[in-house]
Amino acid sequence: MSEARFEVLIVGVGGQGVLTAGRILGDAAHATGLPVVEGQLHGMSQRGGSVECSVLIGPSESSFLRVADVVVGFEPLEALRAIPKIGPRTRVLLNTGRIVPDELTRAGRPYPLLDSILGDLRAVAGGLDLVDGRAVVEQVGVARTLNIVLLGALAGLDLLPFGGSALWRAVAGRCRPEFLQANREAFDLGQAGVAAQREGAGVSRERQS
Amino acid sequence: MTDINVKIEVEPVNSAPHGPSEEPGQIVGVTGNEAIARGAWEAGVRVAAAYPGTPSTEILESLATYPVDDLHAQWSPNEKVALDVAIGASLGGVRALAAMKHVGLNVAADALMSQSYIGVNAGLVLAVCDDPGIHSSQNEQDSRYFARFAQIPVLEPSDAQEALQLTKLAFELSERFDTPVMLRSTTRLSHTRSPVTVGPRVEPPRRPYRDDPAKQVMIPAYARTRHPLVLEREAKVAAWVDAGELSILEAGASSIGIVTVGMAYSYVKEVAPPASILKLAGSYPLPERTLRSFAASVDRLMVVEELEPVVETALRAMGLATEGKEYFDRTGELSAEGVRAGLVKANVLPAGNRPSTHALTPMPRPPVLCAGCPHMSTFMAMRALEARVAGDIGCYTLSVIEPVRATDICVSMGSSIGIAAGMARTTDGSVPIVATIGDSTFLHAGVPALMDAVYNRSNITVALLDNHTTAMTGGQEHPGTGRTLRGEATHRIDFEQLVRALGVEWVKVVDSYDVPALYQAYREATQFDGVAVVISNRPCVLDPVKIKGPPFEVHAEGCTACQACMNLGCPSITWGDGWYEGRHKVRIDAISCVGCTLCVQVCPTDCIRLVAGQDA
Repeated sequence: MSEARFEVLIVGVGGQGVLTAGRILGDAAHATGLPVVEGQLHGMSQRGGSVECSVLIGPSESSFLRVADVVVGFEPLEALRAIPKIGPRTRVLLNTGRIVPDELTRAGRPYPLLDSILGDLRAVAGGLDLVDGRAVVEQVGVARTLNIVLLGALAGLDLLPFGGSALWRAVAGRCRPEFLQANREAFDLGQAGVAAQREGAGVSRERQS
Repeated sequence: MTDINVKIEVEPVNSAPHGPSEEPGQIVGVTGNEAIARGAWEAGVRVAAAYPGTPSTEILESLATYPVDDLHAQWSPNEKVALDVAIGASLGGVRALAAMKHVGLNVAADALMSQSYIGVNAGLVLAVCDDPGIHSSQNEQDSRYFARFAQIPVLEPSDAQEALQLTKLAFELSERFDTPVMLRSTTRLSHTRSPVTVGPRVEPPRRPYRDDPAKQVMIPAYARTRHPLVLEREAKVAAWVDAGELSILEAGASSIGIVTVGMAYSYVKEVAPPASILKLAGSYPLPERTLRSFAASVDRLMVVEELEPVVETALRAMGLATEGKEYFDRTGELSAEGVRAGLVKANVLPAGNRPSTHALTPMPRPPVLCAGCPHMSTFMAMRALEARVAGDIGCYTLSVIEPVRATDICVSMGSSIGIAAGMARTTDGSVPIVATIGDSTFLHAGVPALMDAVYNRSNITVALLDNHTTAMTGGQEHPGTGRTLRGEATHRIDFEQLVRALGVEWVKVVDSYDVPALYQAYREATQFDGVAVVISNRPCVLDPVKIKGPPFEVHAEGCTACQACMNLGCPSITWGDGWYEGRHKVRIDAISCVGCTLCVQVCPTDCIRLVAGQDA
């Protein structure tokens, strides 16, 4: 009953800007005139715990995410946690930067190999696009623009029911003036990075049938 | 080492102001909590009060964005005071709202139970947010039992639009039936944002104050006359609910009839079983006639509700054969998947092919104390003193997690001090007994407990962790911050003066970033015979301003992998690539490091230094 609806799941670690990214995506949908339902669980969100946020864009009776059209993973292990919401129609956009859970550190256990995580995601998802968020953020020079890099990359995938310019306007609408320039750069670099991969120039774009 | 200059740069937290700019008829995206606030504003609420508590906090934060001429919105030091303020406003003749989380209602219950007898003058609504699944609470009690207990109507919205409408209705019911009314939300509803059509504000005229001691003064003689009226009221509300259009019947197959309420209705709709559905607007009082006729129209009757079998038990008491909790969990948060699984178990839905469940259980990532959290050093000191620690509710409860693991007991708001006092009666004094309590929690319910400890000559140490905010819920003001909910300057409690006024003779204020001074203070405090209070006075790294100082790094050649810094539990410190005598050396993540210097102060080899090029 929700054929027209586009379902985005954003997952990451508290403090990465997951909820803000969700708000911005919701703002963009709202500004485009599309109904949108944002679901989130916070409360301890700023304290380094797992955070997830769903943004359901388009008309539907339902308020719940089923199988996501896109999963935006801010962190590999958190993307892995989202696997129940990933199916053959799901495109996964993943920031490869790792945040080692404290419990792993304490237990003296290693973080899983990135290749193994990517393998697990590939086994269930319809497509996987990788972003080296840390490298882009370093280029921008403002650490807290990671979420905007990923929103730019999401726009670059060209899957959303609205264009990149609508998404950028929503970013600008929630941005303090002194960070507008940095966010613009972050958004553009994210978008350009994914677009370049889409043209086959990059090595990190992977696609399954 | 303590000559390190703890200089910090502060960045104002991005506070995106959003006002009630929406015009009536407009569709806006709001959360359940914002919808409750909007509904209260549209109903003409004039006074609103709350103590912050997840998932209810945003109700008052949202109300505070409406014009000050429309309503007075305030934080109170605890939920009972908030409800008392709302009661006073209601009896004074204006519509009033108190908001709280489920466990906050326990604190406010004393007022509620008798206010039920008294009733209202202008409408009085309690917005209570439950937390099924215990996302950010100490239990998952079902507040609907409290509505039955206090014999006040409860309305349970299933989405944000309904939250707005039922909030408005709650004020009308309150006045029509002379009763406080509970509006019950849950975490999922409170925090989901969806499109809502908003309406205009009505301004009910102020009702004249009623000079009516027999109604408003609960001495035994008067209370006895009120109790029968409460029972009469219950019957009247039930009849009204029965006669009206609040219960929604969605006729379907007559083989199964599902009675549902609140968020559970949304899950049932998601699953779309072949059944007739009766959606209730609330679970107390119940529309008995409607329920009986629904039961008679179906072969099997089933209740789908979240948490406790409140409706189910009531149906059984009516003599109706019903099914319910044998299929649907009584613990945790309900979900569409959970409802589907229950309906499969009940043979209402076919088993079908289950979606392939990937056998993956990634390492959990629970929340931790933030990098630079001013509470960290206190818990290091607790460990060093081998103290028994009665903790309290707040971020610092996270100190129970490895590697800090310094909190031994935590029960309820403000309970640390009383528990420590009781515990101290069970030891010979060889184990230091310490209560750790935050500034906001201390003002909430810790002050009477400290009074008790002094009065009864307890031998305990109280760690008053003053981080200048209500941190766990996202940084709300309280009487110790000097600011109101609307951000106006106001009197700021001086904790040292307050504690001394209670009779505490040993008080020391320390900076929790100064590790040696902090240790020394706790050593002396725990050796003091009597009540000693250490006030640590360092603001939260997140609120009211985000703190980010120059970051530090580990010079690996000097690191002996001793783990002293690791034991702080700082999330910026992780294992590095190098080894020393078979142990991992450490590294510091420069992006998340806020430069608090705690690790620098505990490092025995001085290998943690400012990142090159940074200027302290």
